[in-house]
Amino acid sequence: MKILVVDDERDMQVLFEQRFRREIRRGVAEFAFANSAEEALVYLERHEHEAVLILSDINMPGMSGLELLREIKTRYENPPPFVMMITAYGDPDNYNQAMQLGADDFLTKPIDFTVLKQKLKLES
Amino acid sequence: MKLPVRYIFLILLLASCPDSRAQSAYLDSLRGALGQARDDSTRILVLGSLVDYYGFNQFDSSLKYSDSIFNLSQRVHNPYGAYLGSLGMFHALNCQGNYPQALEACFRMEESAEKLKTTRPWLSALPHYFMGVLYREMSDFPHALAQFRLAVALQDAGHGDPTDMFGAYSHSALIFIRLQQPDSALWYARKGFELAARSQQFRKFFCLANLVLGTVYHAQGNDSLARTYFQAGAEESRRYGNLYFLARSYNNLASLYRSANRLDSSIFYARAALAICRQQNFSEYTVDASSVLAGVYRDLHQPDSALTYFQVMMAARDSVFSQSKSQEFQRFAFAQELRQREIAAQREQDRIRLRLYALATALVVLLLVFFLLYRNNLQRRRANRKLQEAYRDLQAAQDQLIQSEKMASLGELTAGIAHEIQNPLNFVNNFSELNAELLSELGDLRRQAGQEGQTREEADLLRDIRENAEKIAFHGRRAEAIVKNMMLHARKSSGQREATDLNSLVLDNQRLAYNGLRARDKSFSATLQTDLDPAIPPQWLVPQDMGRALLNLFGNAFYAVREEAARGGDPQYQPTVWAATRMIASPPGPGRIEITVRDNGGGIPAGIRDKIFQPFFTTKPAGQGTGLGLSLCYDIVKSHGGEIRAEDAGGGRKGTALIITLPNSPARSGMGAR
Repeated sequence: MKILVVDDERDMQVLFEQRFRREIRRGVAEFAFANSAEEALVYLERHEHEAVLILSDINMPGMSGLELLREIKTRYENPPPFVMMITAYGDPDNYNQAMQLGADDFLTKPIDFTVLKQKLKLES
Repeated sequence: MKLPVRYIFLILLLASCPDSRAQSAYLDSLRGALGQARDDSTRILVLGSLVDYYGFNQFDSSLKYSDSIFNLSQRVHNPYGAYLGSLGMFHALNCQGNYPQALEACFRMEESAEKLKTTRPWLSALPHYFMGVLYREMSDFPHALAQFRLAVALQDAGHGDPTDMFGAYSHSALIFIRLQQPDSALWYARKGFELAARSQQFRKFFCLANLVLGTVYHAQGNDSLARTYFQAGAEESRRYGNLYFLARSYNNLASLYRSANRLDSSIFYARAALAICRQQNFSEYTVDASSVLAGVYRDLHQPDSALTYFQVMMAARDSVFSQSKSQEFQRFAFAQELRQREIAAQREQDRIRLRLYALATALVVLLLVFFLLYRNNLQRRRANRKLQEAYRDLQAAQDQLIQSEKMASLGELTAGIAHEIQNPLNFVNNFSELNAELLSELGDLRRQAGQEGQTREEADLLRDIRENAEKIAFHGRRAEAIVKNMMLHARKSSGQREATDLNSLVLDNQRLAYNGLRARDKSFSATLQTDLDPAIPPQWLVPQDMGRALLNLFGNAFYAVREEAARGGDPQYQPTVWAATRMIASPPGPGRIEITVRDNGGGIPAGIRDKIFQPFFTTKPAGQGTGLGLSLCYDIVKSHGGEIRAEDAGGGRKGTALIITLPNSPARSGMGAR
């Protein structure tokens, strides 16, 4: 399963690689990282039909996670990618907006990786 | 027969006025002086001399000059001049028989005397003496005597010359003759005579005292003494040119000689008197003189002469009769005058009374105004006090507002900091956890590989590093808990307001807090007391938020009583936490609701009571409290439009009471359905 993580925090890549090191080693999960929504769109353009799951932060400089979500959901209809929004602001506004825009799931920071692995059905 | 008599009279008359040419020269000089007199006081003096000159001889002139003196003095406000002018007028009017106007003059004298009472207090005596004279003329003897007595008393009281009042005694003597009291008459006549003999100012009226004494003796039948005094009276009258008293003296002598049967002498004096009377038009004395003459001639059997004088007498009597008629009229006028005086006095009194009423009214109005002003002042002071109270309240409200603003900004700041810290903190936690994982994996790998080179030191170092990573993770999670609480400040309430049973909310959270603590500390137990007001209607509030606030308060309360129990000061100590709700009605408003969470723990020191709602303020040891609980409660209560305050448990008990006051906001029917 290919997972695209979109977050302006660069250390997020290291964190995910280490957290999912066993899954990566076993080859059940493959990670791609984008430091901004724009970068994520470029990646999706290049790897159409590749990405299975997108994990995106909402609050980012430039294009926000919600805008990215709208872009993805309008551009890629068939098959629509699974998008999971992650935010530090667990307020209902963000949640409702994300759901309206067609987010498939919603997580709040700090990310509980055990829960995330369950959701991704990567639990070994 | 007539001519010689008249001739004798003229001689007598000329003898009384030593030099008529000198007299007319004196008169001319006076008139000249009057014409030249520049200032009023000089004029008054000259006029006084003129009055003196005319005196008892020419009443019209005397009256005219007296009147001038009076008017002039009134104009220049000279009361003494007015007094003297009135005095001259009195003499003239009295001798003319014009009693009402004479009385008027007396009153004027009295008025002037009143103005002069500080400098010449004795002046008030004379007008009363004159009034007495008038009363005697009216034959009102009791009043006359009273006035004479009053005059003497006033003269004494005013330290005047007592000899001035001899007339009062002499006139009294005449009254006592009429009252047929000869002894009294004699005593008064003598007294008058003695005083008159020593008098300076009224020496010119000494003739009167003589005539009165003579009359008294004549009445008593002592003819020789009577003659002596009558003749002395005539002498005195002549000396001062007082024809009125001279005529009276002659009449007295004539009737004395007639009764002594010395008819020649009687005829002589009667004729002399008649001559003066005819010249001066003294009708009263004409009757006396002619009646004596008629009687004497009848006795001498000279019917012609008797008839002549009888006719003279009748003519004079007609005149006297008409005079007495006019006297009758004047008596009436006199009474009228008195009545008018009384009316005037009454009017004066009325005026005084009116003024008194006006004064009283003014006083009442003044009092009223004073009262109103006082009341106004009182009201103003009361308003001022209220204003000050309102100002104090306002200041308190402002302080509170500033405080809550401070708290709000502090809350925002806290939330802001929390957000900023959250992301790095997440990395710290994640990587420290990962480190611990990775290190234990490394240890496993090395054991599996069975590397012999691994020294004991290396193994110890790896363990220490892993333990450090775990500690970092542990403290990171602590920080994360704080950050989460901090973020609650900024979190907009996600909950919705709904109809809530406040009493059960309170009860639930009391139990929840108790059970929470018991779960961690099985040995702890406490008494739970409740006093819930069933009158509280379902409230329109956010139950999650209010519940969290209540849970916090109860948590603190149970924490406090557990600490107190752990201190173990009192073996009888029973940890207790009270929960109370109360509806405070304040019609017509919806009222308020008070929630009290009270414990019998250690209490909050007064010095830190206003800090407890600030974020991060805690008295708990490090790691046991974030110092955000009460701060959060504060925010929640505020967001419900209420207030929260901390107090001593009260009633001398230990412990703390936290009191939440909320506006009563009953859920309307239908709202609860949302």
